[in-house]
Amino acid sequence: MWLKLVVLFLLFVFLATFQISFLVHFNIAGTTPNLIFILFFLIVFFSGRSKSTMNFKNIFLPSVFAGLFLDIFYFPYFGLAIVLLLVMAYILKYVLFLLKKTRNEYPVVYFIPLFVLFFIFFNIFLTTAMPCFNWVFLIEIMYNLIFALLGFYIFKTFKLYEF
Amino acid sequence: MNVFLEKPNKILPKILIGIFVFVFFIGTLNLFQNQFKNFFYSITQPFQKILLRAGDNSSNFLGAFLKINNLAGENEEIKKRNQELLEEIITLQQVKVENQALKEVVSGGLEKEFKLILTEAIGIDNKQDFILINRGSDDGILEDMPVINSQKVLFGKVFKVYKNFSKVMLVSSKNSVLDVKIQKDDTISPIIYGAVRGEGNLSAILDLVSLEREIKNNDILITSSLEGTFPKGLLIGKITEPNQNDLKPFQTAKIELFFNLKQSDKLFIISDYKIE
Repeated sequence: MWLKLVVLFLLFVFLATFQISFLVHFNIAGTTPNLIFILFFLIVFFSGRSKSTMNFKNIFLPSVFAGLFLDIFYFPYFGLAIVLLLVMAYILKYVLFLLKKTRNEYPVVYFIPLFVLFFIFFNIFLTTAMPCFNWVFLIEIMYNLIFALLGFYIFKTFKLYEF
Repeated sequence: MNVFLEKPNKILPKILIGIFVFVFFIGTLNLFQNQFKNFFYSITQPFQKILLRAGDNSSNFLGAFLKINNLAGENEEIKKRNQELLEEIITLQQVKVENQALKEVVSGGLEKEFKLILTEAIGIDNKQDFILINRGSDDGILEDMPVINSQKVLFGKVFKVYKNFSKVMLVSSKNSVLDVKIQKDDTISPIIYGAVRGEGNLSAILDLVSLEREIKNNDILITSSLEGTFPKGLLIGKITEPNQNDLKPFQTAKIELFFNLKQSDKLFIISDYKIE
């Protein structure tokens, strides 16, 4: 378990570095994919139906890791992103619980609307200025969704359900 | 008999301890946030540099590759542009004398005017229009110091200083507003002042220009030094689409910023300059 968490931590380090250095050259209308948020969402989404309420290793720690790196690279203070992602993680877990899927099925029809909704939620709370709901923000959502869907099928193909 | 005394709730203390540990963790992070952030930036700096260059090269290659299919159309566009440029050259020759002031701004020796510290961008946050540079308080960097390139193009100002790194707020940041002067082709026109307001996503607009003044495409925007943060004469951008609406108290305009993040490998921090 701990080895997996170390790998996950290092993966977040890599994604954060990749995001602020490599991907900025591939911006569309000044927007780039938020890989940290995408990985966080994928992990929580695919562990969303486990029975444990706290789910320390599948939800709590990945949320803290993701929030930590968002705080390090994007925000002036620690805590804001961590707390928000934790709240979002448990809301997402509850939403998935309400969907009452008992089998290990992770349909893309759940994934897309939930991702878009949570991405908007995330941006409303975490950007220093309120995001304008204009075409640039729409492009940002679409750009992130492409990477999220790529991740979604990687998770499904390699069955990375329980980290 | 009170059942709550005999069977105490074991979950509540655990939750309280968990919350306490979590708050303590966040508090500690914030207490030593400069050291933590500096530590992480130090660790990731070599990778960031490599990835930044790799991303630049890859995007150039990809851009060139994508343009192959469009060569014929591009050729026509270049021919048309060539004609426009020829016309522009003629115009420029006519206003050569009047442009002397701008030429002085552009060609002036940087070192003679400012005390500079060489730096380079190692990370870019284009969500909030910040860049991370590899100079910090150990190098004498202070907040609000202007950051420019060798052509005197203003990138922004130092926003947050760590031990070995600093965050620079670009002029396109939504939190950025700076006073500017509009450089006209002729020297007899009255000086026009305005403000460049960041719009995010690497864009900005010109605002607060008096309705009585005439602004047009390709007018150059330079810093005015009215606010005291920036030395005067730093290049910011040019007007691309003036917007005069009599219902509004001021004129606005879309502008094209001169700074280019692809050329952020050699930047200068102005640590001192003469206030005129």
